[in-house]
Amino acid sequence: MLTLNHFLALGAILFAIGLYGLLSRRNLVAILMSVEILLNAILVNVVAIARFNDQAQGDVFALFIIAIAAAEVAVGLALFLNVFRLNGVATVDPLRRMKE
Amino acid sequence: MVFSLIALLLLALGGSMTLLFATVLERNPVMTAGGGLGVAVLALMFFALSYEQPGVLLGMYQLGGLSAIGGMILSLIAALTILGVMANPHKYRAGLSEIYALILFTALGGTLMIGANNLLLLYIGIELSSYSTYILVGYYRDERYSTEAATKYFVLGALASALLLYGISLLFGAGGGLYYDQIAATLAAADTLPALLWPGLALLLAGFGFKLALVPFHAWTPDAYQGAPTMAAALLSVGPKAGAVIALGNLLTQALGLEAISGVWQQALIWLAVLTMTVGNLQALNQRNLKRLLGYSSVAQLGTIIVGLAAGTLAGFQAVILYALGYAFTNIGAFTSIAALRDAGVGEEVDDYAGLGKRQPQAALLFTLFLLSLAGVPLLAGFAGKLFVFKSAVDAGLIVLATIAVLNTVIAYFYYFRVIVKMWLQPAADEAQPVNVNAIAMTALALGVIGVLVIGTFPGPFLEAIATALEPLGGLIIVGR
Repeated sequence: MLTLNHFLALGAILFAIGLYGLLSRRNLVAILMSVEILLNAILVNVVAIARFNDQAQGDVFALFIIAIAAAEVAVGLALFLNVFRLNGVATVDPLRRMKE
Repeated sequence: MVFSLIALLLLALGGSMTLLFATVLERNPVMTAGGGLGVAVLALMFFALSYEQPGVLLGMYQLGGLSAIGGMILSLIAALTILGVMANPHKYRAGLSEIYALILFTALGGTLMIGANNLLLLYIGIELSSYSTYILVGYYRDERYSTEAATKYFVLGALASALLLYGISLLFGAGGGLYYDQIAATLAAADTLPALLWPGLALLLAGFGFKLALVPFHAWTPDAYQGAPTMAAALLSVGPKAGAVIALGNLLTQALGLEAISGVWQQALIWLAVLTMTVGNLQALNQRNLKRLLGYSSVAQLGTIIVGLAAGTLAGFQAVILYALGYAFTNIGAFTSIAALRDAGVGEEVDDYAGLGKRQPQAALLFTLFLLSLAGVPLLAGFAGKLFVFKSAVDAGLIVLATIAVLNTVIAYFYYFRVIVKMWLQPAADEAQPVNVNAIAMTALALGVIGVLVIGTFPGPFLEAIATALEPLGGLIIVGR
């Protein structure tokens, strides 16, 4: 029998994977994918809570998260394209000029 | 109800219209700037009119009172930033009308999160202001510094949003709803507090910590400030932060004000405040780039603001809002000074400011006043804010925290006065060269100084207005400890 805790655990595992990816990948596109994993982990949480606690607001919340995540990726992709245009590579390596 | 709606629609539609008609407007930069400024000023007026008209919009947005004050602060920030941009519009080649739209959207996001009494709206507000500032930081798209700053800010901002949202999702589970009052009621009725609440609260504070650049979540701040266009840094240092700090206070007191919970977040905020003030000030001490220095200084300032929230009292929250208002005038003024002097040919290193008192006395004087206000010298806004924040901490029994905060103010004197001494007492490298500062920039600076002086000298009326706005929250706020 699946309970809410199973879904919350799945969410936590997904979140941990996303967090690891975000902090360890050097490729900017991979970082963007990790952000998506993080947001999907949260979606699992929200939808599961909405289902088990019988809260329709959770489903609405989930839809909003999907839409906002799309906007976030659009902004991020634009920035990363610019990094590629200026440096010829889309990794974090050229991004350490300011430290002096 | 009507006035708040008009103000919100002004910001939303004003921003959208500027974007929609960008190609037409681009041919007439003066009109575009005037339009942007007009929208911000009109929104400010309508928020002021809505102050005495409380109400609720669609069940999730509080009108009047606190949200009117928040709206006024944010519109004011937008107006001052737009003035700063107008001083030298040629710098923003990537699109002039878009920058005004993004500034207005940042203000709208801040206003939404302050007035929100629903976690979904809070999240939308935070993201609206975050995304706008990501783009603003990377606005010089042909400059590597700007792009680097924006990328770092984006990656850490995305992480922050994810942590915050994860916290919100857990809080949704623990509180049985998205509305603040719903959460408060569920938690108050529960025999034992749900286990989900604690990780939720921790993630929420970490997310807000990133957005507010509290230590240890402040790593992005200096880079983002240094690489961003100076006016974007000005907006970034006050707009989203004023919004987020008031929204955090609102959320903590209204949804999580139960005594068993408030003790925990108060303790967490105390530690964050101590760390933030100390690390921010110590790192600011040996910065050579002025924008980086102000970046660390703003980290420290936010630490001081958090002291007021940690007090957990009505007086503390009141002081936080007054501080945010004064800080908005002061920090935008300081960044606008740097931007204006940069346009006039003065570099951004502290050494470049040597002898500025002789080369350009008016701008140097105004910049000095802003730095003095940041340092917290009496009769200036920074002092009033600090005074009431510290007083609220002492009244709440947090003597040690207040002492550490005062000691930190003393540390901060060193780096603010280093710049002031450099400007007035050291000879310039090329003294013969006078510096001409743009008239619009001077107007913006003068407005900033007027604000700083008025709030610093007569904080009474402002405090009263804030207290009246906070009254409806009275029952939900824990008083004392």
